Amino acid sequence: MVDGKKLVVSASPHLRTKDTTQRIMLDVVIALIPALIAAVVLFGPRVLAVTATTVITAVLSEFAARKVMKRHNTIQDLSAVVTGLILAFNLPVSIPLWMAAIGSFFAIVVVKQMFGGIGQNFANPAIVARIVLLLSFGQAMGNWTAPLSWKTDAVSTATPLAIIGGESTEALPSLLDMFLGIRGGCIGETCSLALIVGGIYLMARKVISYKIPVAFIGTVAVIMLIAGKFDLEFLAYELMGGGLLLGAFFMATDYSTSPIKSNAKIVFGVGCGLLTCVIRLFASLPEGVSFAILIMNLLVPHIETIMAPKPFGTVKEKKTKEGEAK
Amino acid sequence: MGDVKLPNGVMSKAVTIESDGEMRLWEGIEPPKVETKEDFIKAVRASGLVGLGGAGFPTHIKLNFPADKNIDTLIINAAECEPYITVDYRECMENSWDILSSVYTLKDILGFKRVVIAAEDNKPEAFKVLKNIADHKDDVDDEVQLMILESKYPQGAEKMMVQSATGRRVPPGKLPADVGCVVLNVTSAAFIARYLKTGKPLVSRSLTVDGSAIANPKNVRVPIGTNISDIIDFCGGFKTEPCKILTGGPMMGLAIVGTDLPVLKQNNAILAFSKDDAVLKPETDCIRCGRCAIACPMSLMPTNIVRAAKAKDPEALKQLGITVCMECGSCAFACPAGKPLVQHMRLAKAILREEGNK
Amino acid sequence: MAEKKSLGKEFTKGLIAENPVFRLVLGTCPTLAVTTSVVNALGMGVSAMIVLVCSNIVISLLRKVIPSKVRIPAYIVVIASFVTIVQMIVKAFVPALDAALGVFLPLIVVNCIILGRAEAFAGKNSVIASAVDGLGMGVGFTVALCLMASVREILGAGTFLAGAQNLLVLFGDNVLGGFNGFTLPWTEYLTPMTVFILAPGGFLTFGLLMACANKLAEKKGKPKAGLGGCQACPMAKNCALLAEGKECKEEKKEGETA
Repeated sequence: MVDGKKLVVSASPHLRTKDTTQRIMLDVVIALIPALIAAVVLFGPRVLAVTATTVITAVLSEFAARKVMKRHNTIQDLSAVVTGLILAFNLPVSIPLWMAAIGSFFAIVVVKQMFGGIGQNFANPAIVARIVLLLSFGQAMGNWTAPLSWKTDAVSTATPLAIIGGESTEALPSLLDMFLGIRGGCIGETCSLALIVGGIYLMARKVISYKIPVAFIGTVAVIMLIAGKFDLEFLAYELMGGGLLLGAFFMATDYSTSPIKSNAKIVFGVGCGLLTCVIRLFASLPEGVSFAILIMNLLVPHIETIMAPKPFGTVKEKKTKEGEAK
Repeated sequence: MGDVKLPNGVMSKAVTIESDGEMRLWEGIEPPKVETKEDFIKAVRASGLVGLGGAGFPTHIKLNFPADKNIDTLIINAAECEPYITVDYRECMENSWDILSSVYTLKDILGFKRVVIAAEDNKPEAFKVLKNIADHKDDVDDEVQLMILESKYPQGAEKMMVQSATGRRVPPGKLPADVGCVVLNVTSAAFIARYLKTGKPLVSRSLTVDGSAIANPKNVRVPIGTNISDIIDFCGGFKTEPCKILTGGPMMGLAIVGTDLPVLKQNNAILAFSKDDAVLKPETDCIRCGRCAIACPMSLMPTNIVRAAKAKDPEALKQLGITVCMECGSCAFACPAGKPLVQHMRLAKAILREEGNK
Repeated sequence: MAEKKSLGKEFTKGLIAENPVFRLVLGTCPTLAVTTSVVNALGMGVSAMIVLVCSNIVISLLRKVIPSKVRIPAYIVVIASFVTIVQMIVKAFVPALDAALGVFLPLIVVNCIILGRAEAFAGKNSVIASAVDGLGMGVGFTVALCLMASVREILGAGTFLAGAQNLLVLFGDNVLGGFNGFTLPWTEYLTPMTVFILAPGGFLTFGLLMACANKLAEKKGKPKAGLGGCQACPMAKNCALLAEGKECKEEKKEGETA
């Protein structure tokens, strides 16, 4: 006590960074806005309806789930908003709103809250929800609308990867069209330009490390280069097609489902890339990013155990000839 | 003689001295006779020197290493250990002759093959002064070198200093002496030279008084045991209402309950913060972002340690290397969720001790 | 030996407190496989119950005769005999059910519930008690299967009791006016969530129902099925070692083959 007023006596350290969880999540939301704007231009105002549905359902589900489980409220950390946004970006624009709501509810309640809330989910909530919706409502999830057709009449189309995979005889969009997003696909995955801008923003703000996206996209590039017999055009379609950029920048880098240490991050990114290519090339699905990320999410605890850093100065035990440790 | 409360809350026996204010030297003080290493160690012990960089480890024990340890390097730690503190810097600027004398004395008496003076790069003035010491004409074989290190917390920590200066890593549970190094704070080194010259033991020390609540922040030289309130009054008192007062730096310092406490040998700062700086960050859930693991200088994983501590798992804690943690506070600083990680680390160490004893 | 319960309690414990599927976590393989439709679940449950009761009775009758060292093979022989009988009856009278259940009907032999109850109960208790235990466990199993199947069929296929004729054919042709299950009204506007018919949905339903069962049992004061240790063992209630306060691994160290 000094002059009759009480002093704060707390444990060290007494300096803290100004960063908060909320600020980090806000950065992710900002990074997603270019893609959202591009989506509205390409697919029309229904994009906003789908996004609003997923985001509002996510926030309400989190609020309700925490109340039911008698835990403190966490909606202010904006992580539910981020999950809602990313899930919306993974859905086709024509999806019925009630399906989107179910997906959002599933992501927040089953994948996130039932496992302990933020930081404890076993896999990326948006990815798992997308896969559940894919398995549940296969037809609705495969109904792709042609870009820019919302001004007149919605026309359905095939995704570039499906065309490459031989599932459709439509013409491939030009490379410029691919870069700007004028192609069929999920709401948020088409505009490569917007996604790259968002990714760079996140890396500049130090929210994500460059290691996972570079390892992921790099591995896909290398394998597709070889698989396409060094056809650069094929490589460009593979890199810009599907959900690769969306997945590499925004979903594989989710904190609680990716490793912490740098070398483990690279292994994770390479693994994602490898599985994506295996699924795209050899499996019957045209797109493999969501399953690849899900499988790698499940492997993360094992990767981290094997690649655990040794505390400073740990000396390797030398073995004698008989194999006993000294 | 009576009981006095120390800043960490412990009650200790102490003698309270009424000062006559005249600061006269007692006539019995004379420089010690030092001819051999044993004389030197005895002299250092008699001076009462402890690590003045904040650690407070008795220096005579540190310098009295056995011959078989093969110590070849002396590292003079001129890196300020924490933000706000500038006493070591002022020591370099104002008492460089003492540092010079001490470096060469220690080199000769204790037989170091190499002396590295390490300073941080945010103090270019000190760099000039220290360069003169390193390039002194007596250093024929260039055994005394100056090294400029990156200004990054916790560069001033012992193990980090050894690694930066010599590239050697101190194994867990061991001392710098086990990799052939001795680390000595620059103020402690300067004091040794002064003691050998004058024989005046450690009865006063400098410390930094700073913080947003202090009216005239400055470095002051105070007799050890002075009341903190007197020191703060000397610096103009409080300009705003203090909300948090620390002895030591803001990363590892101790928050004290009041100012009616004495200054100890190892205190190198008194910091007083106003309300804006003292506000505690609200705690939210861990998001597993890993910034704590990236910040940790000892390559530990605080997220996993907290998990193992909650599960009361001594095997996991041992494997995660919790004993290596030096409680520097880098992890808690970096955490965006405001988790009190250093407290978790301390708790984890206690759990390991308790469960290990079962 | 666990405390002697009244016969009524022996029956009811199989319903919630010691439900073989949700609490003892036995017989999960058929649980996940046949619960895609309620009719199949009902058929499987009743078949398993008949085998359980019969084998419990016979094993209990022979409990003093079968030497301890060969008791497992002996139990399997008894159980296999009854499964064969039941399989032949089903093939004859309810052939559509046999086609629907496929290989899972003969697999009742290795259904852990039946062997588990034989080992834990019938081998040590009187005939009447064993019969009642078998009945209770069988009813619990059937109820659990039907509950899971209801959830999965309603959400995943939008029907309820689809294929009911397969079972009703037992009682004659065109029973109940050829009733073959309901198609639920909302399926016109809302497509059913197919994931529940698939394996992931099965596991999800299983987990959620297990959580509910745990909650109910907790209210009655039973401990949760823990993640490890003796409490999780399905034999915990009747374990002689546990009653003495010891754990299995302590005994095993002395070289005993438990």
